[in-house]
Amino acid sequence: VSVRNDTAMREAPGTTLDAAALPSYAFGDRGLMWWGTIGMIAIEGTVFAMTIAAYLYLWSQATVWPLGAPPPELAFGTVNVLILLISMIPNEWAKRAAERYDLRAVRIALVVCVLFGAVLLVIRGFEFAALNVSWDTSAYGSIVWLLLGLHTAHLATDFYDTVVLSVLMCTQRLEGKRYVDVSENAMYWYFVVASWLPIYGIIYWMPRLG
Amino acid sequence: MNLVATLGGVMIAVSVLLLVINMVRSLRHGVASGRDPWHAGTLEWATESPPASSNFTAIPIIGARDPLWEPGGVRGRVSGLSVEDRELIVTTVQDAAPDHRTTFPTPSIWPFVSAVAVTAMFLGTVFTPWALVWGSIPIAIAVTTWFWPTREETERHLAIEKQP
Repeated sequence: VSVRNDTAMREAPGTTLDAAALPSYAFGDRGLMWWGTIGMIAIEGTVFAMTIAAYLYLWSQATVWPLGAPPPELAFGTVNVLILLISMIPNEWAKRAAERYDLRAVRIALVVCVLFGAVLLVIRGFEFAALNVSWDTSAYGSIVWLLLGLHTAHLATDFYDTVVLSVLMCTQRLEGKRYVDVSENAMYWYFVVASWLPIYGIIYWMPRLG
Repeated sequence: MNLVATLGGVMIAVSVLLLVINMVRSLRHGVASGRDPWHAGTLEWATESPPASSNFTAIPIIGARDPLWEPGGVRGRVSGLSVEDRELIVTTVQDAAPDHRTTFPTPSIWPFVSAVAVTAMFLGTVFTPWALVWGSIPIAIAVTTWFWPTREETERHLAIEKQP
């Protein structure tokens, strides 16, 4: 007795789909890059939310806040809010230039984005120094370092992404899908900007509420 | 309580042993079962046994929920995908209509290297928090090299590229 399946017999011959006629890439929510980026934003947004929840829990349990340390100095964090908000302009410029395949504008916009990222990272270094607490001093120290560290991880990652993309767009022969990469890299940057606003509020203003 | 746990452990050990005996016996004796010994209805049973690393040599086009049970369940095959690169079809989310193609990087050592680098970074953090900083450098190098296109790869892709 043959146990082999008869799938082949049920298959209507001659029906084919010519994939060569399909486009090689797509912008926006049709493309895998969009879904990958959205998935990462969902995961990392949840991590931010959980970390903020941990901060609020510690705050709710403490009799004084911050624990045995002065509040973080405001200047550097506030400057970074402004620079992050302004950085959305070259970022949107890069996105729009990519979506109309304007290579010259993409290159310039990406380099401007890289410069913004570098400035932000340098100021971020001063932010850590201005926290007025070490990561191993207390639960308060640990949670603010974790919050700032998580956001810095994304700042550094998107900075590195943008550097790699800039080198790629400036030196290599380019497939059309590289413009999709530029477009979705901009979406990631919006996440870095948007997530900083609540984290900034928590790190710098919660200790001032008492 | 300990006795119950021990009995459970012995039962699991015996069941695994049976599984191993069954595997060895089946390898040596009996008729090869073919790709769908259960006459199951879903697509994973339609490919060869053992399956190729690409699952299907040509992607089937599906016309029914249980494609292997219903007449016209497998309506045909996809043609026109690259045989030199790992090219696949991306469909629309809800209707699964073919939308565009996508290519993935060719197999390389870099996914493995990046996994080793991630492991090394996390092991390093046991000893110093700075491992987070230094450990991220080899990870960044590995994941970049993983996707970085070679000239030949780009030329091949451009030769079959179709703009939307």
